[in-house]
Amino acid sequence: MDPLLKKAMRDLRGQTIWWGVGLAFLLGITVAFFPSVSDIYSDIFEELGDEWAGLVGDGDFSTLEGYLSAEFFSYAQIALAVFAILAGGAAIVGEETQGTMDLLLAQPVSRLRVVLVKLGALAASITIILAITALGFLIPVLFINEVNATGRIAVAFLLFLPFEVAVALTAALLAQLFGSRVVGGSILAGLLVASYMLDALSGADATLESLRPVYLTSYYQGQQALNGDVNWAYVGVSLAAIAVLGVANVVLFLRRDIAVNGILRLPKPRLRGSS
Amino acid sequence: MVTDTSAIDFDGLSKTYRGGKRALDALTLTVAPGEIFGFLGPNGAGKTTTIRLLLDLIRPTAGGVSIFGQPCNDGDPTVRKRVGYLPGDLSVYPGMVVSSVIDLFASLRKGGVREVWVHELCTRLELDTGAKVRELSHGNKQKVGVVLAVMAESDLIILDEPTSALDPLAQRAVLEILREVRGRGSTVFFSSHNLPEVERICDRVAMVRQGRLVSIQRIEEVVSRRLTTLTVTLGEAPATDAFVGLDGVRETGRGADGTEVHLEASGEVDALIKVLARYRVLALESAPPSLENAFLAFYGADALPSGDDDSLSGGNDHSQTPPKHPTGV
Repeated sequence: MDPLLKKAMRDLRGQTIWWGVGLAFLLGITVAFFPSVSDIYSDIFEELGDEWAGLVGDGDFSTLEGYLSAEFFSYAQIALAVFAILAGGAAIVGEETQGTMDLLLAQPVSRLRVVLVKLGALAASITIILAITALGFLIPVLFINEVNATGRIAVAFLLFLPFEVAVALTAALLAQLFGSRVVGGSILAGLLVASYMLDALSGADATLESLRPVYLTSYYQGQQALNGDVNWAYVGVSLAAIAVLGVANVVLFLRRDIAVNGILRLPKPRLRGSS
Repeated sequence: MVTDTSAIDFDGLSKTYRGGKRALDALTLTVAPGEIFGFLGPNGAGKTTTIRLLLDLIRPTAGGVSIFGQPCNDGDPTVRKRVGYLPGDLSVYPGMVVSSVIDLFASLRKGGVREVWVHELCTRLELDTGAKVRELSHGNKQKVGVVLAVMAESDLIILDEPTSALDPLAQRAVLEILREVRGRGSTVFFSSHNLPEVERICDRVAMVRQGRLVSIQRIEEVVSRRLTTLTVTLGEAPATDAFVGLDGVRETGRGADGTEVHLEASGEVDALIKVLARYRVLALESAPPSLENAFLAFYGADALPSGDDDSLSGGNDHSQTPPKHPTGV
């Protein structure tokens, strides 16, 4: 294995395992409790009606897909996006901030190799987290005898990948542009949370519904996969975004100065009385 | 064996950072193969910017630089096969064991590192290779950096303030190692703000200030003209003109009773010692020359760059020419 890739994977090893185990545990517990709580939830959602139910998912709680749509896949993309933002922001700029990038790039290695390794390790890490999380689904599902439900759920899992990789690449790009993973990550986190809220409310409002293509979270189609109505155009946009963001990250890293202030700056808030 | 005509060629190299800060202004100089070249200047003079440009970590806004004839800023990493580097503000992966760090960087050089030499370096620097980097003191981290810079026995070794965090014994060991690698044909480009250290090891020295090259001198010339500060306490107050007319000596002040005399001397101090020998000398203190004093010795206060002095632009032939504004002390 390439020594740089090995090092990059090693750097992400701890985070990858703990995020994977954490999500797997959460999902495993959720699945394990499905038989006992599904009836209760179904009653509650019948009373709430479709519009309020839309806030927490469009699930049919008599099935495992519907149950997981509301209890896991409604928020898991945001939970995993936290990792994607943290790891994406740190992938390139983290090493610059730490000061180790100078020593690395002083070796006979190209910037292209460094950035490809960093972004590749990032994508691999997200894939491994999803694989570990999938184990948290598969193990309890064998015990509750719901194996026939795994097809759509597997698609929902796979659809995490383009969305989360796109989020990670966006975080990496913003961190490069601002020269700060905190600034870049904060902007992206704010956009994602706002999107999540508006996306959730859009089921109850026609205007918000019409703006769905604007919401970043719309591009995760996992919940739709559970209902069997994936909008593949959204998935295509995510895949195209990965290509564009990947190229943008590479070009920017090849051209810019290392470990100096970013290209973009947020306007500083002006305090009254300050000149 | 290095056969190139120049190890480093700076050609009008300039760098202005975003926001307008001009860090380096038209640096032109040539470093010959096989020499130890000191790059001297106070903090903020542009030394680190110059080195980061050399390594293609940042890109010039004008001019260019080449290493052994190969341009440095075209994104081609092959030139760095011939370069070893120690950053000034060294950071090494804190969670890694020292030996793993060495293995990682050696693996990036694909067989260009002799294990025996690495072992020898670690032994001479008394470096614990089994420790984690985060457990090391600042000085020991610096030793790791020295090993990483020197282990490939590169044709060019670039060091940014290499001994800044080291104790005197380790400093001596590092300077010995540098002399040794130079003896094997390596060129050493060495930035520092410590004049005595540069004097001990360098063949030539360039002085930079405010991003501009002030001069290039052979080290013998720097030593012969350096300004030493002396404080002499005598048994009785000497005559007011006792030190007047001594070549290279200037009296800068006296204590209240006139027995404590403050002097500045450049070059030989033989005449001064002979005058002092006429008195009963109770104490003699000598301070090493500061970088600021070195500038003053060469150029006088008015010659320090203020922005428009054409005489401050660099050129290799400066090493052969006398300073434009000798102090005349």
